[in-house]
Amino acid sequence: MRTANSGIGTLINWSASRFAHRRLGTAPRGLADEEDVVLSAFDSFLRAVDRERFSELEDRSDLWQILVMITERKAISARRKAPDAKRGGGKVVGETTDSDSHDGIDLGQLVGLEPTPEFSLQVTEEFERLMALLADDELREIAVARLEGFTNEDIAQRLNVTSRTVERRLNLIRRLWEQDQQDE
Amino acid sequence: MSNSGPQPDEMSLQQEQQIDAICGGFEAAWQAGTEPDIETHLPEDSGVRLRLLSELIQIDLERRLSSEPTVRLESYLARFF
Repeated sequence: MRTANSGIGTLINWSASRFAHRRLGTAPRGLADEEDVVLSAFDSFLRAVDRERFSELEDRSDLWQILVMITERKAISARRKAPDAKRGGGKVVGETTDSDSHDGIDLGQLVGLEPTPEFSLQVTEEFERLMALLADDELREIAVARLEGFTNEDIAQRLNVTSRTVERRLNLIRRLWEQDQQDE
Repeated sequence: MSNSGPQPDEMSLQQEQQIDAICGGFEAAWQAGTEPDIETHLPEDSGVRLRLLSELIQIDLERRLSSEPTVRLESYLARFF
């Protein structure tokens, strides 16, 4: 798959691995409840993997990138507010060191890393919060479809609107999410 | 400032939402099976009039191209400029 060596690909492979464990009943004891939440968060990605439509997720302006970046910023901010918080031993997504901390997230640095369940849970919570900022059902449907990896043309056809409308509304979604970050 | 109105990255979020709402009404009219006039969705006194006109033309052109392959952008230029 084209994204196999990308950070996004890592996230997908990680979640797919957990999904397989879950289905096979081989997940380590104690992780099941947490993984229910994690699996919910990545359900849309698994569907997209099936369709092999992740090439566009490499676009840095795409919603998934924005979602991960917002979550990463919040995680960094939370760590800075709690300087004595215990860090995990391994270097994993959502547990970057101070030297790695930056406003954005360099997905290139995520290659080979594994997101923590905590970070995945944060992504889930952030996804739900950001979706609540969208004022109408069509905006939310466009956001979810884009996160699932559908193209603008796919979404336009599904909603019986023009591709231009999908593009305009995606721009509006990005502005709404960015404005929310500036307001915090 | 050019006479084309604010560029997308210069527009306020409120202006973008205003444009989105009007374009939504325009799309809804197409979905209802009518062929809406751009002019009736274009407020005369809006500060984003030309940006809105650009959006409406793109929607209108995309809609019409699906049934009228011969429609051309030039026809909008003659009509609005």
